[in-house]
Amino acid sequence: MGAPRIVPTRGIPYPTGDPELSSEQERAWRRQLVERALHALATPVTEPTVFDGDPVE
Amino acid sequence: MRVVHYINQFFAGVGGEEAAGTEPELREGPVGPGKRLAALLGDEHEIVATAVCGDDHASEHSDFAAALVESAREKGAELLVAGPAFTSGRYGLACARIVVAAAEAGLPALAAMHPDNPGLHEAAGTPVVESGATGREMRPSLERLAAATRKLAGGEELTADDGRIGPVARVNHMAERSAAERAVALLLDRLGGDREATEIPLPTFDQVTPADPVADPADALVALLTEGGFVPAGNPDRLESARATKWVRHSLEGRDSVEEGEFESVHGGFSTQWANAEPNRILPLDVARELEQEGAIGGLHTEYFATTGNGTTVADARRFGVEWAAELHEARIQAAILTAT
Repeated sequence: MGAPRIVPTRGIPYPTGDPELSSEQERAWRRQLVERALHALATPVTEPTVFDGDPVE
Repeated sequence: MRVVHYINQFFAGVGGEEAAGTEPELREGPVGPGKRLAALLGDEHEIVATAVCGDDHASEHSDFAAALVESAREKGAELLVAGPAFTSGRYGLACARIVVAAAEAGLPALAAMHPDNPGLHEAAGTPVVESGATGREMRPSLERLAAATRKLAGGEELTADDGRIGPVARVNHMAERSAAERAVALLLDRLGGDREATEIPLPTFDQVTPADPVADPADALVALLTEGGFVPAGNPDRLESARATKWVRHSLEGRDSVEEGEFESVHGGFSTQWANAEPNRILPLDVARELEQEGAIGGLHTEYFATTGNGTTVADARRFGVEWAAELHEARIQAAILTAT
């Protein structure tokens, strides 16, 4: 639908979570997703782009 | 005919973004591009007044349109023309709202904007003619708008030949051939290689030009947004669980997390049990706040925006997008993370 920067997640009912994980693991996963989103926001794109890897420091 | 012309604060010479909050006003005679439009309209028509409103004001106060139309009528307006808005989203939305308000008040009205303008689908069947993409194409855009205005003033319907774009109100009429005959004819056309012929054009989804990246998230103000039907417990604004017609905003000030029992999802398109047990699964405030405190995010916006993306019309979603962009722009937010369910 034209979203230019996309971070894929694991399930429609919990975009920034994963109920299969323990609560510490889930929070770490959520943090990873938001870090990816910040990386995506700082990256130039010209078309809809999926950010599914972790930023290389 | 006595014509009232609508333009935004920029084309009225009030100012750019810093003046986007300009309140609605009616000025005597043509202003800015209205002067050229008046010349093109010729002696039979006169631009008696120019309605002006700031783009932010217009996108945040939808009642600006009815008020300006009322003032225009007091000036003896017989027709209202808006734009051209080119690809400017808030301006296009404002033009659409004012022509719809004029049409509801019984005045013939039309707007001009680029086919990619999100305002196009807000015009709800009120005529819109195509303009160029930017103000550099002002001259040909005004020529087309003037020709269409003259035709509308003459009581004629505007068609694609006049540059009309966007949704056209459906009117019942008797077809010469039965539905079965027309369907077979369309099938034969398709078999003959015609991929375009249709009686029911499907909506097209536009391409969005990506915004430039933020230089460094550590210096940026970031907003959290969601279409996950995310509301304070009890849903005080009665946000719809499907086919949303509105969006809501709530403060995140003083919160390090969104807790079970304080927030919930009213989305009707999936089971909300996981979201309600741990609301940070929809709005990741806990980790975003952590990243803010560590300095990886310059600052989080003081509030979140939410709607429900479940059977929501593209036209409503587009309008929410324009309104959100205007709000975030005004709050000097540089980036947004929107969680999608």
